[in-house]
Amino acid sequence: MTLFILKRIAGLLALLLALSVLVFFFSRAIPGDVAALYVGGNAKPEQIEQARLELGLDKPLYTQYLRYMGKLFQGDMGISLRTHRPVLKDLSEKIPMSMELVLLALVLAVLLGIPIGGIAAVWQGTWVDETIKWFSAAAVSIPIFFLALLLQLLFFNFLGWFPLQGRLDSMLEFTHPIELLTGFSFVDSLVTGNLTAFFNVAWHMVLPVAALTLGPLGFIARLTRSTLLDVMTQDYILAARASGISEGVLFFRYGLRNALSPILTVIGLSVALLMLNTFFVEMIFNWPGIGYYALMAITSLDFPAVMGIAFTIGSIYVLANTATDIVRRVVDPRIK
Amino acid sequence: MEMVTHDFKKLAEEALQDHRKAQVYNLRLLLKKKLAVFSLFVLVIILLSALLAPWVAPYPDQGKGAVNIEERLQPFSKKHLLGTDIYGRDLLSRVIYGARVSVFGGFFIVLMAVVIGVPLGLWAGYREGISGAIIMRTVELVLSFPSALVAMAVSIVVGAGSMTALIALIIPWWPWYTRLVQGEVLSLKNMLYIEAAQMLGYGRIYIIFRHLLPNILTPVIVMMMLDIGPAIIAIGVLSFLGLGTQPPNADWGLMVWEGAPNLLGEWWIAIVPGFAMFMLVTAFNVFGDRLKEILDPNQP
Amino acid sequence: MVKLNKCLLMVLICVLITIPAGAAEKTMMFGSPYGITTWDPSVSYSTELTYMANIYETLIKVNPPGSKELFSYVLATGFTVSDDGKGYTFSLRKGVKFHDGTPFSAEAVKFSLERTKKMGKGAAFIWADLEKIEIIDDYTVKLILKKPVPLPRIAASAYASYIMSPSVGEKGADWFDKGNDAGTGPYTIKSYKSGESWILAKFNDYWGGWEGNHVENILVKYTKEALIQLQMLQSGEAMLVGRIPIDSYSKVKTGKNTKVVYGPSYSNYMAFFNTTRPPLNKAKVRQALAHAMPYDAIIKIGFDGLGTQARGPVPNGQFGSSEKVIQYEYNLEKARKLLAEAGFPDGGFKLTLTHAAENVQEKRFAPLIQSEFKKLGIDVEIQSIVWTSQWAKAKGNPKEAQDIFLLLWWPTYSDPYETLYSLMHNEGDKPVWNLAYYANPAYDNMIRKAYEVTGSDPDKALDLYIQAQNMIQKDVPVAWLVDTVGNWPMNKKLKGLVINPAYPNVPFFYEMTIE
Repeated sequence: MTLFILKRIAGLLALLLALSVLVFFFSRAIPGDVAALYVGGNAKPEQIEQARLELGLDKPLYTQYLRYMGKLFQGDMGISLRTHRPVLKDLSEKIPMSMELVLLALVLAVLLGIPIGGIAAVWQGTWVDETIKWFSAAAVSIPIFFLALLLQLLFFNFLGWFPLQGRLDSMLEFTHPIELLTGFSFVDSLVTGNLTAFFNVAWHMVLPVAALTLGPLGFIARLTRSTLLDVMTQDYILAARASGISEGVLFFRYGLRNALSPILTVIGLSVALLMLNTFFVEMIFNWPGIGYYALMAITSLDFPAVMGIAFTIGSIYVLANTATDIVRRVVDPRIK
Repeated sequence: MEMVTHDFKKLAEEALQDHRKAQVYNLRLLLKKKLAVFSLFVLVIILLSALLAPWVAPYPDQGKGAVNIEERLQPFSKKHLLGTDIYGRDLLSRVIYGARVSVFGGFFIVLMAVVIGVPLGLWAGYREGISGAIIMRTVELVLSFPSALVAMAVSIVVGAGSMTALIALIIPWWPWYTRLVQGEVLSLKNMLYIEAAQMLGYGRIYIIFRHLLPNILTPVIVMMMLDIGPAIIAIGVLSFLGLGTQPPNADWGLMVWEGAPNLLGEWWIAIVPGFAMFMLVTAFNVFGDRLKEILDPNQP
Repeated sequence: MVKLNKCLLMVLICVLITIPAGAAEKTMMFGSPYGITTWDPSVSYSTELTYMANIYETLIKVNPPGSKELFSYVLATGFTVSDDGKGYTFSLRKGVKFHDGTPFSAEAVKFSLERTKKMGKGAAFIWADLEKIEIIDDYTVKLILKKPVPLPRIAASAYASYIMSPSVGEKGADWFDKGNDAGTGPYTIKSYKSGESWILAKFNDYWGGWEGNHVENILVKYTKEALIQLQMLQSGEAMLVGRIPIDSYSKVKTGKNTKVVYGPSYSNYMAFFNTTRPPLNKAKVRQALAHAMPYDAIIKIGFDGLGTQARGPVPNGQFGSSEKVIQYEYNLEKARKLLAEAGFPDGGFKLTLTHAAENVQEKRFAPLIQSEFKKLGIDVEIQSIVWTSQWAKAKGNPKEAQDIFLLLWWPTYSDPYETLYSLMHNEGDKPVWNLAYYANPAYDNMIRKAYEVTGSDPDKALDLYIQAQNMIQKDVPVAWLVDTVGNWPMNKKLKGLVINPAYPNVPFFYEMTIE
C-alpha cells in the first residue's frame, strides 16, 4: 500500500515537471509579440526592443525556463502584464471565487445525483427509471455554453427571477464591498456580518451553480444507477440475500459500499469537467474567477498569467487524479 | 493427439459463432424501447439532412454564408422557419449546414481515435513487454492533462480552423480507446480458446484479428456511440471560442457565439443552434445507452 | 488604500446615495469597457485615457469641431510664437493646485514634459522635435523646438502632454499603478481595484470650482461585455456605459429612461492591401477591390448605420480632410471590368483577410467583404486573430503576411501629419503601421512639407495634404472604409456630455450634471 502511494506520488512529480515544460513552451509558442503588447499602444520598435530585454526574452529558451522554474519554487510566478500585480496574488484571489461555484456544484451534484441514481436502480425498468435515464442523458448532453445562455434567457429575460450576471449588484460593490478573508465571498460576507452582500451573492450564484451542476449531476446519477445494478446482481449479494439479510442492509451496507469506487472515479472526472465548464460559466455570467481571469490573460497574451494559470490548473487536475487513484485503492484494494 | 486439437479448434469456432448469433438477437431488442426508436429517428433525420444539405436546406447559399441584409434579425416566420441572424441568413439552413460540421466532425474524431487507439491497445494488451509499457505510459501521460485545454492549446498555437480543431481534439481522445482495448485484451488473453489457438501455432497477428478483435468490438462500439456526443460538444466548444470553424461557414458552436450579444433581444440566433446541438447529442446518448444495455449488459 | 479611508468613503457614498430625489444627484455609476493599462501620465497611451483626461490636465485643449475657437486654455492662459516658429512662450494659470497640495507653476511644466520625454514610452514621440524648456518665471514657460512644428496641437494631445506635480520626483510607473495620481484635474483616484472597479472622486480644490451641480463621484465598474453594460443601463444601475450590442442601439435610443448621445469621432477603419504580393501588387486589381467594398452594408451592419464612407486616411472633420480627396464608390460592375482589364475576368484567386478578434465591428463586417468579393469570383479567408498577433504577423515577412489587413485607427493628437506619416510613409522591410508595405518618396516629402507649414500657412498645408492624399488614392494601397461616429449610451437624466473627437472615449465628467 505504502509502495503504491509512493509510486503514485513519484509519478505525480514527474507529471508536474512535464506539465511545467509543456506549459512554458506553449506560452512561448503562442503567436504574437509579447514585448510589443507589454509596451502597448502604438509602440515604437526601440521601445519594443527595450521591453524585450526587460522581460528577459532575449535569452535562449532553456535559460528562460530555468529562470522561471527557479522563481516558481520561491513562489514567484512573475508579474501579470495586464494587472501589473504578482500572478500568484491574482490567482490566490481568483481561485477561491471559482472554487465557490465548483465546490457548491459538486456537492449538489453528489447529494442529488447519488440518490437519483439509486432510485432509478431500485425501480429499475419502471417509468421512474426510464424518466431518470432520459433526464440524465439529457443532462450530460447539454453543452455548457448553451445551458448558461438558456438559463439567462429564461430566468432573467423572461421571468426576471435572477440577475443576468456578476457576483454582486454593481452598486453593492461600492457600498458593501466584501472584505477579502478566505476569498470565498459566501463565507467572507457571512463572517464579516455583511448580510446585504451575503444574500446578494447567494442570489447571483443560483444560475451559475445551476448551470455547473447539471452535467455532473446527470453523470453521477447514470453511473450510480449502473454501478448499483451491477453490484446488486453479483453473486455475493445473492448469497447474502439467500442467507436472510434484509434488503435495506444489503443495499446500504454492501451495495453502496462496493459501488463507491467507480463513483469516486466519476467524482474525480466530474471535477475535471467542472473546471472546464467554469471557464464558460464565468465568461457568460461574468463571474470574477479564474476562468474569467484566464480568458482575459489569453486574449491579452499575458504570458506570465497564462503560464501561472495553466500550471496551476494542470497541477490541480493532476493532483485530483492522483488523489482519486489513491482513495480508490484505499477503499477497494482489488483495483489494480 | 490430432483429434483433440481439432476438437479444440472446432469448439472455439463454435463458441465464437454462438456469441455472434446472440448479438444479432440482442440488436432486435434495441427497437423495443420507444425512446430508443425515437432517438434513432432523430439521428437519422439529422444525418440525412446533413448529407443532403444542398437539397434539404431552404436557402442553401445562406447556409453556406451568403449575406441577406434586408431580412436581418427576423423572428420565426413562414418564410424563415427558424428566423434569421444578424446578416439575414436563414437559421434553418444554417443549422442544417452546421450539422455537417458537427456530425461529420464528431464521427471523424471518434473514428480517428479508434483507428489510432485500438491497434495500439491491441498491441499493448497482447504483446505487453516494453513496447506495451511505452504505449500505456503515453496513454497515462496524455490522459493526465485536461483534454479540453490540450485541444485549445494546440489550436491556439497552430492557428484556428476547423481542420486544426478536429486534429487537436483527436490528440486527447485516442488514449481512451487504447486503455479500454488494452484492458479488454488483457482479460481475454487468458481465455481457453486463445491459448488453444496459440498452441495450434497460429500467428500473433492472426490471433489478434480473428479472435481478439471481434470480442472487443462490442465495448469499443458502445464507447464510440457514447463518444460521438461529447465529440460534437467538444467541436462546438472550440468553435464557440473562435478556435474552430471560421466564418462565414455554419457551425453550431460558432453560431451560438455569434448570437450571444443579441440574447436579450433576438434570442433565437443563439438558442436555435445550441438547441440543435443539445438534441443531437441527447439522441446519440439515449441511443447509445440502449445499445449498451443490449450489447454489453455486464459492463457498468 | 488605507482602510480608514475606504470606510469613510463607503459612508460618504451611502450618504450620497440616500440623498432624497429632490436634490440633484452627484454620484453616478459608469459601466465601462475601458480598462487601465497604466496610471502613469507619461506612459499612458491606451484606453485609460477615459479617466486620465479627468484626472490630469494639459496646457491647452482642442475644442470639438464646429466651435468658434480652435483651442481653449486649460493650464495655460495664452501663448505667443516667435518669428521663426520655433519658440512658444506660454503664460500659465495662477492659483492652481495639484491633488497633493503642491502649487502649479512653470517648474511643473518643465518637470512633466521632460519626464515624459526622458521615459520615452507611450506617446512620448510627439515631443521628438522639442529642443528644450526654459522657465522664464513662475508663470511663464518657453518651449523651444528644433523645427517649426505645430506645437499647440501637440501640447493639446490626448496622450503624453499631461502636467503632473514635481513631487512625483523619481517615482516610476509602479507608484502610479497602485492607484496614486498627481494631477490638477477635477477628479482624483479615490480607490482602485485592478481589473474590477475604481472610483473617481471630486477634488475639492480644483481651480474651476464646484459651483453648480457638477458630477462629483464616478463609480467605475469595468466590464468588456456589451450585453452586461446594456443590462446595467436598462436596469438604471449605470448612468453611463461605453458599449452596448450594436443591434440594441435602436431600442436604447428610444428607451423610456435611456438615450444615446452622438458626436464626431476621429476613429476610422481601413483595409490595407498587401502591395508586395500578387495579385494585389497590381494597382488595377486594388482599384477594382476598392470598388467592390460594400461601404453602405458595412456601415449598416458594423455600426448600426452610424458612420460615413471614409475618403482618405484623415477622418471627416479633422483638419486635412476634404471633399477634394478622391473616393471610390461601391460599384460591382466597375470592379468586374477593372479586374478583367487586369487579367482576372472571373477572379479566381484567394485572399486572406485578418482582423482583430477583439474588435466587434470588424468581426461583424468582415463577412460582408467576403460575401461581395465572392460575387467577383474571389475567395476570401477571414482570420480572426488577437490584435497583437494580427499586428505581429503583418510586421513579419510581407511575402508571407496577410493580403488584407483591417485596422481601426485613431490619431494621437489632432494633426493629420501623424496619421499620414505613420500609415503610409516608407518603412521598408520593418513596417510598424505601413501594413500595405507601400513606398512613395514623393508622398513622404509632401506631407513633411505640409507639417512644417501648418503653423504659418494652414491653407497651403491643407492644399499639400489634399495633394498627398490623392497621390495615394491613385495607387490605392489602402481601401478607406468608415469614418465612425462617436456615441455614448446613457440614462436620460445625465446631461452635458459633449463628444470631443480629439479625446476619444472621454466623458468630461466635470461638464456633466444629473437631473
